[in-house]
Parts: sequence; C-alpha cells; structure tokens
Amino acid sequence: MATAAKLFLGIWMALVTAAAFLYLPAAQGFMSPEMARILAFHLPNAMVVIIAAVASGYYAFRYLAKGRSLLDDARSKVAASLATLFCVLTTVTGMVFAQVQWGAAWNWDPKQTCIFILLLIYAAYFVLRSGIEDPEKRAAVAAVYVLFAAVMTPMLGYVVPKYMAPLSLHPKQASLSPEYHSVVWSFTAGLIGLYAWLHNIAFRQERLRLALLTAEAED
Amino acid sequence: MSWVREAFAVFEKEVRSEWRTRVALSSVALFAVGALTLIGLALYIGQGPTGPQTAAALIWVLLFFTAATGLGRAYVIEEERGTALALRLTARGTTVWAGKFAANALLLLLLALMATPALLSLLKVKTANPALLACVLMLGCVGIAAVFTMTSALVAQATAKGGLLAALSFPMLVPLLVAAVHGTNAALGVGNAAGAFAPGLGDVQVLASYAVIAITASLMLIDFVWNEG
Repeated sequence: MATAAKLFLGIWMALVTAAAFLYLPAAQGFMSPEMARILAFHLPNAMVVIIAAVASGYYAFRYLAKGRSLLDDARSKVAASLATLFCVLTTVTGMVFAQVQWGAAWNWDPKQTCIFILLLIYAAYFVLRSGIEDPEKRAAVAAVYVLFAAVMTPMLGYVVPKYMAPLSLHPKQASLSPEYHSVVWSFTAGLIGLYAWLHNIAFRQERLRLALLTAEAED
Repeated sequence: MSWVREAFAVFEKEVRSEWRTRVALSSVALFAVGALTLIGLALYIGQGPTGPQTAAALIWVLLFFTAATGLGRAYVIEEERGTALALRLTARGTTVWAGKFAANALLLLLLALMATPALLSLLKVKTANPALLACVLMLGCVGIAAVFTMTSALVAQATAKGGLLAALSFPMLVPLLVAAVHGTNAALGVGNAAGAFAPGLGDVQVLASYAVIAITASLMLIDFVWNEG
C-alpha cells in the first residue's frame, strides 16, 4: 500500500512537472511570458508553507493542552522544519521570478516581506530549541513561542499591505489561463503528498531518537 | 490577595530591587548615550542630509536595540539570583508577568522620554505635532515592553541568552515598528506640514491594538513557561 502510494506520487509529480513545460501555455501579461512558468512551482510551495505552519502550531497547542506528549513536540518540530524548507523554496522561486519579471530579485513587496519574516521566526525557533537541554522544558518553551508568534504575526497581513500597498508587485487578479489552475492545483496536491511523506520520515526519526534516549536513561 | 494587588506588589518589588542597584537603568542609559554619540558622529562626518524620515527611523532602531539590552533581564535575573522558585511559590504566573511588564514599560518610557528629544535636537528636526509623537512613543513602548517581557520568560530557560532575545522578538515586532515609524513620520511633519493628528490616527490605532493583543496573548501563555522552570 505504502509502496504503491509512493510510486503513484513519483509518477504524478513527474507528469505534472512535464505538464508545466509541455502542456502549460506561456503566461500572458508578464514581462517574459515563457519564464513565468515558474509560477506553477512557486504557488504550490507557498500553499504548503501555510499547511506546515498551521500543522506546527496545531501540534504545539496539542502538546500544551493535551497530555504533554513529547511525540506531539516532535511532530511540531518536524512541521516547523518542513515549513522552513518550503519557505526557502518559495523565496528562491519567487526571487527568480522577480529577477526576470520585475527587474530585481528583492523589492520589499508585501508578500516578500511577510515570507522573509516567517523565515526569521523559524530561524529563531530553532536557535531557541538548541539552547535548551531538558526535553520537556524545551518542548514547552518552543510550543509557547510558536503559539505567541501565531497570535502576533497575522497582524502583518493587515499592517504590511496598509503601508506597503504602493510597492505591491504581486498581481491582484492574475489573468492566467485555465490550464494554470489545473497544473497549479495538481502540483499542490502532489506537493502535499510529498509533505506528508517527508513529515512521516522525519517524525519516525525523531521517535527513534526519543526511544533511544529513554532506553539510555533506563540503563 | 486580589490579582491587581498581587501584580502591583510584583511591580513594586521590581522597581525597588532595580532602584537598589540601578543596573538595568544605568546600562540602558549608557547604551542610549553611546548610540546617540555614534549617530551624531556618523552624521557629522557624513554631513549628508538628515531629514525627519531619518530621525523617525533612528528613533525606533535606537528604542528596539536599547530595549533588547535592558528588558531581557526581567526573567533572566530571577534564574540567575535563584529567586525564581520563591517567586513561583508566592505569586501567580500572570501577576508576575504583569508586574514585570509594568516595570519594563516604565523603564522604556523613561528612556524614550530622554532619548527622543536628544535625538531630535541632535538632528535639528522640528516636531510638527508633539501630542501625536507622545501617543506613538507611548503605545509603541508599551507594545515593545510586552513582547520583550514575554520573550524574556522564554529566553530565561535557555543558555546563550544575550543575542537570542533580539532574534526572538524582532520578527514579532515588525508590525509594531512599521506602524510606529509611519506614525513618527507623520508627527515630524512628513507629508503633514500642518501638523494635524489625523494622518497618524491609523497608526495610533494599529499600535493600540498591537499592545492589547500582545498583552492578552502573553497573559494566556505565560503560565505554560512559568510553571516549567
């Protein structure tokens, strides 16, 4: 079953990637329509960042509210590390796009600003984790930081566009052809599958580490 | 003891123990003096044009980094002195947070009161609307103090406390800093030559709601860290 799912995911991602180059027409309305195909990879990555960030916050909440299981902390940490990974991918694909279409890799566009601040939060989160030895204390402190950030950062969504709207370069209403919708959503579906797979592997690794630590403590 | 009286007792204890040594106060003041000297010297050598926009940006850079040097001590000092356990036995987590937050806010407000006029006279920038400037500074300082008090409680549990505080706080303070710089610009007359209050009203609202959210979130979350240590 698992092997079949992995095989299916591999074929699916290969097909969608091929479709982004062969089936997808050039996006009209951009400076360089042919180069705008990177959208098909950029948008799904940004959506997976949101899923990973929500998952990380959810498991942090579950750790504090229900049972204080270190497994929940491990899930929260794994989701945060994957959020960082997809954050970097979104930023890099976005910068390539911005360099080609808007003339500069970095423009302090509101969405660029927001994703950069998200990266800073996750970087600080991992530094904070590495500074605490005791696993239970580390789990509680990290969970509180994730939840505090989850409350404080949505204000960015209001504040940044309010002050930086004149600088916005992201198209408000993208006039993309219907082929884009199908390719972007298909790639998103595949990427969510990939996220679940990565999450599973990294979580099992964390669980083994926890089991080893408790076994060592018992010896 | 009622919640308010307990919080006030913690606040009183903070102020009194700070007044005995004046470590935080003097380190913050010296840091601010150093930063102001550096700004004055750098702009004197550069002799570039320094308008109100530069002043508004420098005020908030100065306040953020001064806060990072001084406000982090709130919880760290209890762990260093070994008094955290005694405090944990006598007061609730939320009242300890509220007392420490009030002391931190007071310290930062004192600093803003001294550093802002000094910086503005150093750069020879006129204030178009002092009332708006006072509102923006006050609400901004309250928000910064709330976030730093909360992150100080997190950092107190970790090793390598120094640099971590600024790294944890900065991303969360971005909405506040953006609104505060915008409001300070309006108060210093950028695009507001008449010195009206209205151009900065939106910023004051953003700063006020930010402070309320930061205080509420901290009070809801602090027990999880406080009972851990």
